[in-house]
This record gives sequence, C-alpha cells and structure tokens, in this order.
Amino acid sequence: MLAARGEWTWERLKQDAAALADAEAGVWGFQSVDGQGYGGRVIHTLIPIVRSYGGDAWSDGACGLSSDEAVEAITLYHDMIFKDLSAVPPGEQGDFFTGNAALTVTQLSRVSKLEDAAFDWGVAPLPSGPAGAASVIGQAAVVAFAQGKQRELAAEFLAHMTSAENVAVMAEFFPPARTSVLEGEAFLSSNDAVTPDQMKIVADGIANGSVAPGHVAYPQIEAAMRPKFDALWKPDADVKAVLDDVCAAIEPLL
Amino acid sequence: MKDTAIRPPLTLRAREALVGWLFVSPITIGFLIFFVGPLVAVLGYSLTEWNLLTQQSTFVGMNNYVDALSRNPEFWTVLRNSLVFAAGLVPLNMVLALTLAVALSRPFRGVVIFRTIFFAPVVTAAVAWAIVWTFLLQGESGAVNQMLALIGIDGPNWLRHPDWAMFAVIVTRVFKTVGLNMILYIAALQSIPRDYEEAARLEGASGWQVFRMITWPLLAPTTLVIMVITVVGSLKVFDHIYLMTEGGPENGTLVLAFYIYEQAFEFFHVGYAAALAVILFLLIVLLTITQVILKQRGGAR
Repeated sequence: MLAARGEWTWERLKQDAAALADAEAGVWGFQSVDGQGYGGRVIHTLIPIVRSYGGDAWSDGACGLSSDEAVEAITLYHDMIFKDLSAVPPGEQGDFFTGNAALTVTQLSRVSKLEDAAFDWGVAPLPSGPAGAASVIGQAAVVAFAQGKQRELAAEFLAHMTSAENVAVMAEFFPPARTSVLEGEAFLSSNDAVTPDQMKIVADGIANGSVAPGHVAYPQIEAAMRPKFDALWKPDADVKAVLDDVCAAIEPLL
Repeated sequence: MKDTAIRPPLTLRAREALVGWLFVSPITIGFLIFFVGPLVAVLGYSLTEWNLLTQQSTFVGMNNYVDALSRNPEFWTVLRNSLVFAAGLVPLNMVLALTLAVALSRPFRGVVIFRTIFFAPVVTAAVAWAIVWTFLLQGESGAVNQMLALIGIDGPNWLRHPDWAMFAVIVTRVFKTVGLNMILYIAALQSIPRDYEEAARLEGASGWQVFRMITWPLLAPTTLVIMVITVVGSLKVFDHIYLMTEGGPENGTLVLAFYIYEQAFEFFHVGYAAALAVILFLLIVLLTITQVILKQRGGAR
C-alpha cells in the first residue's frame, strides 16, 4: 500500500522499526540479512539502503562506500541500531524467523523457515530512498568454467539447467532470470507458502532490480572489509571516517 | 596348504613379531594413510601455488613461507593472537583444573555431582557450547550481562568489543575443556599414597606445605602431560573462534587455525594455507619439546 503511494521509504521503515521495537525486552524492529549484517553479509544488508540513496558499493574499480550518498544511507542504519535501538545490534541474536524482530530483508528461499511461524507475515518490496526504488537481486548462479576439462559438455549442461522448463522448476526457491518464466502465471503460484500477490512483488523486484555487488575477488574484498567495518558498530563511530578506511582497504583489490 | 608345510618354519621370534605387526596393522595403516600421508602432502602443497578449482599447481619453492614471514604483516597479528590465546587459556585452565581436582578428589557427600557438573562441558558438542555462549554473552539481553546488571555492573558487548572478545572466548573455552584436565589431576591425586601426607602431618607440616612439598612434585608428570595437551589444544583452536567471533572484532581474535581455514577455503590460497599449517605444526612441536626439556631439567634438580 505504502509502496504504491511511494511512501515506503527507508526513513519510513526506520520510524516503523522504532515504533515496533522494545530493546529492553529483546523485541527488535529490524534484523539485518540473516542476522549476519555485522559479519559476512554486511554488504547485503547495506546495499539496498545505499542504492536507494544513489550510491553503490563499487564500480569500475572505484570504491563507492564513502560517497556522500553511501554515508547518508549507512548513517541511517547506524542510527537505527544505536539511536533508535530498533535494529538488532551487533552481538544480539534477535531473529525475525522466531518472531523476535518485526522486519527483515531476506531471500525468497528463506520462506521455508516460516513454515511453522507462530505469527502472520507478509512480503513488501524493498523501501525506496531519495534516489528512488532500488531492488537488489542475489547472485546465485549456474556456470560453466572456461578452464574446465569438458567445456562443451559443461555448456550443454548449463543450457539444459537454464531451459525455460528447468528454470520454472527452480523458480520456487531461485527467482528466475528468464523473463518468460518471470512473467508467467506459473511462477506466481510456484511456492505454496507465498501467495500470487506476494510473488508478484518478488517478480517486480527482479524485473526492476539490479544485481548485488559482485567481483572476481569478492572473498578477498569481504575479508579486507570485515575488520574495518567492525569499527562502525559502536555508538560513537565516525561513519564517514570508518567508510574511508573500508574503501582504503578494498581499493587495491577492486 | 602344502606350500606352508614345505617352507622352513619361521623362528619363534619372527613369528611373534609378525603376529605383533598383524595386531597393530589396523592402526599402523590408518596412521600412515590418515596422518603421515596428509602431513607429507601438506609439506608438498606448501611449496606450490595450487588452484583448487582447476587443479593447476605451480612449484614456487619457499615463496609461501616468505609471504607469511616477511611480506604479510597480517601473519604476525595472527601469530600474536594465537600466543595471547594460549597464554591466557593455559594458566587459567591449569590453575582451575588443579583447584577443582584438589577440592573434588576427597570423597564427600555429593562429590560425584560436582565432578559431573565440571566434566559435562567436555562431552558437550563444541558447536552447541559455542552457540549457547553467543546467546549468553549478548550485549543487551545476554544472561551474563543481565546477571551483572543485578549487582550494578554494566557489562560490555563481550563478543563485539575489541578489548573483551579475546577474554570472552578464552574463558568460555576454559570452561569447555577444564573438566578433562580436572579428571586427569583427580586420578593423579588419588594415586598418591596417603601415607606420605600422614607422615608429613605427623612432622607438623601445614596443609600448604604438604601440597607444596609433596603433592605438587608428585603431580609433575601429570602436569607435564596436561600442559602439553592444553598448549597444543589452545594453538589449534578453531570452532570457538569460527562460531563466536569469526576472528573479529577488528581481527582481535583472528588465530592461526582460523586464518588457515580462511586462506584455504575462502580465498583458495591452498599453497599459502599449507605453509601456514606447517608453521603451526612446527610451532607446536617446538613448544612441546621445550616443555619436556624444561620439565626434565626441573626434575633433575
């Protein structure tokens, strides 16, 4: 509803999360991606916000995380944790799937964790920001290696795996990259736990979204970022200074 | 059948040796395949740059070792963290183990219950132990900080605070492993004949003097064993770090075994990781030999 009126923004989410949270009681408004937003999935947590503010993690070998847009976006999340006390802070285990956090950002496949959920849940598009809507798509992939021993066979298998028919089968958990499947009626009812209306939101997100930041040296970049990002998760952190540090650490790898 | 009858019978000695070897062959073969084999293989890998995905391997000589020791400053941070972890864990573990053992080696009502309580963590799955502690050590709603709050102490965010994370993993690791050392000490204490203490008491020795002059020296062999296994165990720590801090915050708990895992299975620097593993192995061998020598010197005194 809010999204249709263009009012579903990160600012709005921040307010909602603050209203829903009760930190003392261990009830949180927002949980980072899989609760790993302070470790391995920090980028997955921050990028939807950063892109909606017009920034990005990196592009063309340059780090974008210390741009004004990124700093503003990440400051918003920092405030949610340390000013509003609404986002599950580092070192806490508040979990959306057990009902201890009201909102989270996650993937379609995680719906299977909600089978026995004792609460009602729904699906909303990612909030928008000053730079508009910014849906983010994950990056799981089936590939054939250029240096493999059986390249042709691998390519053939790849073609088989990604045929319209097989993509439709996988669509229940891995949102399809094929437009024909994505737009088809079958996709909307491919996952029993997700209503067609909810699946439509997922489909729109894929159709209009952009892929999460990737890089051939991603594991190295992630490891270089991790200790630098740790400095951000303190109440009095200087967001801009920390992000400058993060950029300095990863720029040689980009 | 006939064949064996014609062959000259083995001498008794040779036959006994053969039977002996047959009896130990399962463990010997297992040892060669699963211990010596990988050990030699790791030595080999450490001299190569090996791409796990394409199986391409290039011989680079000592390059990986040079990388670790002189080109990669991270290595020294990691080594320091490992030594800090060991230096924190070993004394704490041994003092606690000995104290518990002395307290629980005499029979009294309920002694079995206490021994069980302190030994239970040893048989608990390490993963479960570590995960439960991440919950207990939460910054806001963790049980530890809530209990501290009752007595007016505002506890830190244990696992996310650069100054406290190492302390927290050391202490939780001590509680996990101290039970085994305690049992070893209890067994050693119970094997000391009562007469010694009785005689000393009759001579007017105080409780502390009895411990200092009789019990402690007689425990020396056990202390050596415990020290060696505790040092080795502390240098090899991986599961606690992986589950509780992932080496953070700010690399504050990045220890060797976790660093090796990261290099090998996240960055696929297999050769470099193998070189690190060899360094860890040499470090453990060196420390173990040092301990044994120091102990022998002490014993000869």
